[in-house]
Amino acid sequence: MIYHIFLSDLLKNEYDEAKLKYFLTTELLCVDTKSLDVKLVEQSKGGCLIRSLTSSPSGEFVMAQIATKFSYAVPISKFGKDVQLWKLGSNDVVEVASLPVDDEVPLAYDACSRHQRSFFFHPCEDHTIIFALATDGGASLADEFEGDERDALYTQKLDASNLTLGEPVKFVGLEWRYAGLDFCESGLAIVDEYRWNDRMERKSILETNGKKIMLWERSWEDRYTAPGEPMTRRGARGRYFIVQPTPTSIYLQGPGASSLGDRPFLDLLDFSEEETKTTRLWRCTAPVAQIGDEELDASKEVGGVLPTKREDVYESLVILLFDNDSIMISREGKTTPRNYYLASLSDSSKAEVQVTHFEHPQPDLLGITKELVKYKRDDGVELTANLYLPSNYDGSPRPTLFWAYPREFKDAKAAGQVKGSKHRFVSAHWASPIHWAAKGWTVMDDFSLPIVGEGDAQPNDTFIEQVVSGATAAVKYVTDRGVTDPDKCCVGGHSYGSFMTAHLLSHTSLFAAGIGRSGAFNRTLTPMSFQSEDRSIWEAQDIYITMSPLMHVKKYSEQDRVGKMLLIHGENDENRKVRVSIVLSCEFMCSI
Amino acid sequence: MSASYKEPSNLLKRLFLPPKDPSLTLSSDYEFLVITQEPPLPSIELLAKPEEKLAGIRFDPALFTPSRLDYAESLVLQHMATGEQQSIELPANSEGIRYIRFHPSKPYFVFSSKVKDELLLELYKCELLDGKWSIEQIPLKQRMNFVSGCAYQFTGDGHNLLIKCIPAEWPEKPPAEPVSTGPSIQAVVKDARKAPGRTYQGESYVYI
Repeated sequence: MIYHIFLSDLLKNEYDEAKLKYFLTTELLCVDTKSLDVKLVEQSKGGCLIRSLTSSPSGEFVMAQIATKFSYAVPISKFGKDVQLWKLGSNDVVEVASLPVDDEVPLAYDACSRHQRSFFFHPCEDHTIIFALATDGGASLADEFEGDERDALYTQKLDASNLTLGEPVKFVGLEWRYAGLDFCESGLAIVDEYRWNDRMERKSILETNGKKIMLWERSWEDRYTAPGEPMTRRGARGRYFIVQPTPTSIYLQGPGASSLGDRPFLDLLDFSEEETKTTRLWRCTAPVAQIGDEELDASKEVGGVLPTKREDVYESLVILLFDNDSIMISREGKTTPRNYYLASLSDSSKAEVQVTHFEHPQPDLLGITKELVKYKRDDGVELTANLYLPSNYDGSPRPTLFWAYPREFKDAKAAGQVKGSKHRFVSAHWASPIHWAAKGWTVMDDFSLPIVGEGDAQPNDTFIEQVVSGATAAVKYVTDRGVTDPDKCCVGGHSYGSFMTAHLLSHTSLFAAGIGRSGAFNRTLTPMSFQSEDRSIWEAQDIYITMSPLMHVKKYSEQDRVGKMLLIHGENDENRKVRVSIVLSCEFMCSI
Repeated sequence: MSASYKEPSNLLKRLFLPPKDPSLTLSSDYEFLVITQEPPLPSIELLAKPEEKLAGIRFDPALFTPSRLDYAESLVLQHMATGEQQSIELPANSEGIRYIRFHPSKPYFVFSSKVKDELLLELYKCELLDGKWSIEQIPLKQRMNFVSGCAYQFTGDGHNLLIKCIPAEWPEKPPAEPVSTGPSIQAVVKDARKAPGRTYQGESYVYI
C-alpha cells in the first residue's frame, strides 16, 4: 500500500496529462555559434518531454533525461524517465537507463530511490557518465543494515566509436548517503555524504589512484566550526572545477560564523601530510571591539595574526580570479549598500579597485539602528535577534513587532550560535518587518526560536513549550531593556512563522496582535512529514495533533489578553486551498 | 466604492518600491561584468496573468515561461580591471531581457528579449568585436520553451548552442477539456516497495 496526499498542483486526470504534454514537449535545435546556422537535433524530432539536458564536455553528445511515465501522486521531478545520450549531428541514441516513477522512497530524509539516480557527465573526461545507486535499497540510514556501504557512485564509459556503454565501474562506496561530488581539473575529486538522524556530514578526498582520505566528519548544525566548502571556478569546457593551486591543496571558503557574527573566509587546505594543514588567506574585517565581546582568536585570522584594522562592515568573497591572488569581494555596512571591490590576497597594501558604485536604495531607512542582541531562554539556551530601533530614537518604550521562523536542532549548543551579521546593510524588501521601524516601532527581527531535541528526543516532542519559552525570553529582553511597551507587542511570521504565531496567541498572553502570512494550521493535512519532522502521522500521532494550532483555538480566547490575529493568504496560496486556514480564520474570528 | 486602488502614503511608496539591487553576471574569464536592472516589484498586470499549474510546476501558458517573470530594463557591460562601461541598447521592440548565458571560453553571451506587446521571446547574441560589444539576433523559426528552465545552453566545446523549442507544426492551442467519462485510476506498479508518499506542494516538499 502506498499512502499519498493529492494536492491541486499535481496531475489529476488524462486531460492534465494531455496539457502537460502540450506545454512541455520540445524539439531541440542546434545553432552554430559562429555562422548562426540552425539545425534540428534529429533525436528530438516530433518532440519529447526533455526534463534535463547536459552537454558532454567533448560537446559531441548531450545527456537527455526525458519524462516518460506520469504520476498523479508526485511532481514531475519524480516522474519515470529515460536517460539517453544523443550524438549531435546524427540520429544516434544510446540508452542509459529507463527508470520508474520515483514514488516509493521512505519518508526519512536520508532515504532515496532504490534505482540509479543523479546522472551527470564526468567533467574531466570526454563523455563518461557518473551515477549514484543505493547499496542498501535506499532505506533510512537509521534502519539496520548488514554491511558497511549504503551508497555508491559508478562511472560508465561511452565508446564513441561504436556508441556502446561499458559496464558500470564502482567509483567509490559510501557509508552514508551521497550528497555531492566535485572534481578538480586534475581528476582529484571530493565527495560529500550525510546522515540525517544526527545531522552529520562527511567530506572526503578521492585521489586519482582510488585512495579515499576523509577530510572531516561533523555536525552540520555547528556553524562555528564549519571548515567551509571547496572553492569552485569555471574551467575547461565550461565546467566548474574545484580550484587546486598545487597537487596537494585546495581552497575552502565559508561563512565564518562566530560569536561576533558571520565573518566569511578563504583558506588554503594542504593535504600533503596525513594531518591536513589550513592557512587562512582572507577573512572579513573584524568588527570594532565592544565591551563583552569575545576576544579574537589569532589562529582564525589571516596569517595567524590578530588584525590591526577593525571596522564594522560585512564582507564576503565573491570570486578568486585565475591568478589565484586577485579576489573580488563585496562590502557593506549598516548604512552603506553592498558594493564590489577587487583586492589582492598577497599584498594587502595594494589599493583596492572599487568595481561598482551602487547607491542607497531606501534613504528613508537611514537613521534606523540595527543591533545583534543576545539573551537566554529560561533553560539556558542562548538566543539572538536583530534589534532595530527607529531613527532619532528617544529611549522611550515603543510598540514592538517580533518576527520569526522556528528552526529545529539536535544540539542545544548549535541552536544558540550567533547567525548572520549585525553589520549587514539595513534594507527592507516588500515582505520585511523593518518598515515598521520607519514608523517609530521597535522591531525584533529573526528572533531565535530554536526547537531542540537532543539524543533520542526529537525536536518536535516539545515544540509548543520551546516556542513559548523562546518568545517569552525575547519579550522579556526588550521589555527589560526599556525599548518595548509590553502592552503593545505584535508577533508575526511567514509560513511556518505564521504557524508559530497562531501557537503564541493561543498559548500566551504576550502579544496584543499577531500577523500570520501564508500559514498552515492543521498538521493532520500534511500527514507524511513536514519541516524537519520525518515521522508520519502514524508514527507520531500525538505530535501531529498537539502541534496543530487548530486544536488549540479554544485556548486562544481563554488567554488573559486575547490578541487579534490578522491572517493573510494570497488567492493562489495552497495553504488556503487545503481549507485549513479558512477554518482557522473562522475559529479565530469567532473567538475574538 | 472607489473605482481604483487606494494609494499608500509617499513614505510607504518610497519604502516599498526601492530600486532592486542590480543583478551581476560574470563572463567565463572573469574579465567582464554584466549589470542588469530589473523593476522593483512585478506589476499587477503581470501578477494577474493566467497561470497553469501541472505536475508541481507553474508556468505562463501563453509565453511558455515560468510564471510571473519580469525582465531587466537595462544592460551594461563593465570591464573588471579598468571599470570601463558600455551600455548596450536593447532591441527596439524589447520590453526587457532575461536568461543571460556566457559562452564557455569566449567574450560572447546570449540572452532572451521579450517582444513588446507580443507573446514572444527572441534570442540575441552579444559579442565583443574590436573592443566593442554588439548584439545580433539569432533568427529562430520556432518559439523557445522555458517551462522547464532556461531554454538554451552552450555545448561543452562552445561550438553550438542547444535550444529547446516548441515543436514545428505544433497545435496553436492546448487540447480542449473533454467531458469526463470515468474515474481517474492509477495502480501501483508490480514489485513496488511499500513506502509512504510525501506531502507535495509545487515542485518542492511542503515547508509550511
